[in-house]
Amino acid sequence: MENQIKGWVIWFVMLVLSAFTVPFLLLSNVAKVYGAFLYWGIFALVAIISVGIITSKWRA
Amino acid sequence: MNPVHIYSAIILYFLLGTVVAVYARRGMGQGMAEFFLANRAVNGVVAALTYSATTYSAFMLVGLAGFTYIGGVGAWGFELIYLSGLVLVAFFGPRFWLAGKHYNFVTPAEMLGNRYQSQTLQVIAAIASIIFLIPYSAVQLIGIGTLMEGMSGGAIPFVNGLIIAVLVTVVWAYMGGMRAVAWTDSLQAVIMIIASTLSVLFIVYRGFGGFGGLITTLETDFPQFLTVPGPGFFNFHTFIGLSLPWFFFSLSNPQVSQRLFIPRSLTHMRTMVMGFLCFGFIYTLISILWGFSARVLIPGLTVGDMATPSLLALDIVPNGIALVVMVGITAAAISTINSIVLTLSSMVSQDVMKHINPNLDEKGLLSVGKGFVLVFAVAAFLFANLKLGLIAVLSVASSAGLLVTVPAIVGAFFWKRGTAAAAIISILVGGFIALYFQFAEIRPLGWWPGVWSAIVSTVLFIVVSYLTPAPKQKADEFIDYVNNALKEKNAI
Repeated sequence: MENQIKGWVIWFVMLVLSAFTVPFLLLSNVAKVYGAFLYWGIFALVAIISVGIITSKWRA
Repeated sequence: MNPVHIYSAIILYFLLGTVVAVYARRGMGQGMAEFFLANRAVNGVVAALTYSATTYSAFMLVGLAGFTYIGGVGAWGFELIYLSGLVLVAFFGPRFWLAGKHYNFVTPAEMLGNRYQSQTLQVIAAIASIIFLIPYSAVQLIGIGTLMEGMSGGAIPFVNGLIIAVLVTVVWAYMGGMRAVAWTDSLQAVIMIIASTLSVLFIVYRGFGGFGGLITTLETDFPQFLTVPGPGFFNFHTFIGLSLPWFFFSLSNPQVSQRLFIPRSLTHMRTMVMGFLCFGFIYTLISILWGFSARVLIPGLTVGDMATPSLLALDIVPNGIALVVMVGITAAAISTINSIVLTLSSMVSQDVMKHINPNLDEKGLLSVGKGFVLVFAVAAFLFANLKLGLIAVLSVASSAGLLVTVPAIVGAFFWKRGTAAAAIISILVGGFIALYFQFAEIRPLGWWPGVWSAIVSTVLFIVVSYLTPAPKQKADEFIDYVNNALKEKNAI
């Protein structure tokens, strides 16, 4: 269980950090909808899917 | 807009909600867990809708749309980082639920008090919640009063909007506790999403001929609004200052973390989490589209919060739709207020009164709790009616102030070395810093109060824990129980 927790924590830390860094550092000059707007949308959907994977294993 | 139409719509909304509340309270039993947690037996879909309606207040269609109007796409990022904070529920949701069921916890503060073996900690955590959440509720009431006054052209006085909101809150919460609140929240969540979706479709199609038109106009005429820092509002300090406390909202705010106790089973909790995430993504997108639409259609506003009322006043939005949106925003505010009032009432009886008067039996505690539903609703009304500047400060400080409970919550499940003294000091000092920095407008090195309160409370929790004795026996028993139960439920 501990390894699973560590793996998911590392994944989520990287994912959330990217939501702060990518739009400000890499996309700050892309004034298009496919810039920061699209990145944050994809980021949120990836987070939702990740939570979906974790919770799909829960037993009643 | 004609005030008769507004009153009629509100009365219809109230009657509909009351019918739902009457239905919800059928077969309701006695006791604290029954009244405040719906007997821990809430269906996943209802749990998802009440979680959504509680979380999303009038801030979304007014404040977030305003942020988008002023600062552009950064508002989308800030709100989605908040939404992604639900990853915390993937870890802590089953832990709260299992511990709550096993130890019969009614409030998150009770859980902290039990785990760290400290009544003082329990009382302090409850009082901190009251200090920060009553002003937050008052601001929601102010939103309703202002909205009705503005939309009726002053024909509905500000105070009438407050009275209506308080009345609805108290009647529904008092009628059936969490059962009534959860079911009326569900109705309100449906109203919120339908009203906002309809309106955004009208605005985008009648204003721009479709989403393609809005995007093209934005890219051509307002390109800086599609980048960060863009127009300047969302500089990196502001972005972190807003996002960090909100990322931890699902743990720090008791009106939502208490909802981790209510699902019928972990599979129902899964429905709750996934349902909320889908609702949140759509509702956020709609709020952002509102803000962008206002930026293009009404570019001359100086105050972001005026974007929504100004948009509703445009000819492209039919009066009927504007009325439904007004009810939707009112529903968003009331569903947040009644959940806060109910949670704080449970904290007064379970976390404070139980220790002041240990002779009170469960019936007595429940009476106290029900009484405080009225007390807190009236307190929020009085604060809102005074319109003190302090309320706004406390409300803004609420997310930073409640953030200081997070180290103790994380420690409760993951760190046996954590101590009550450390939890108390981290909450008191961190909370003071959040309040003082916010009130005095101090931002050392440019960082917002929430960043400093998070750093200070985390460091204090760790350092003081090493200097004080931990409740080793309790920590072993509590964490070992939860970890074993997690394995049975296949949760990480």
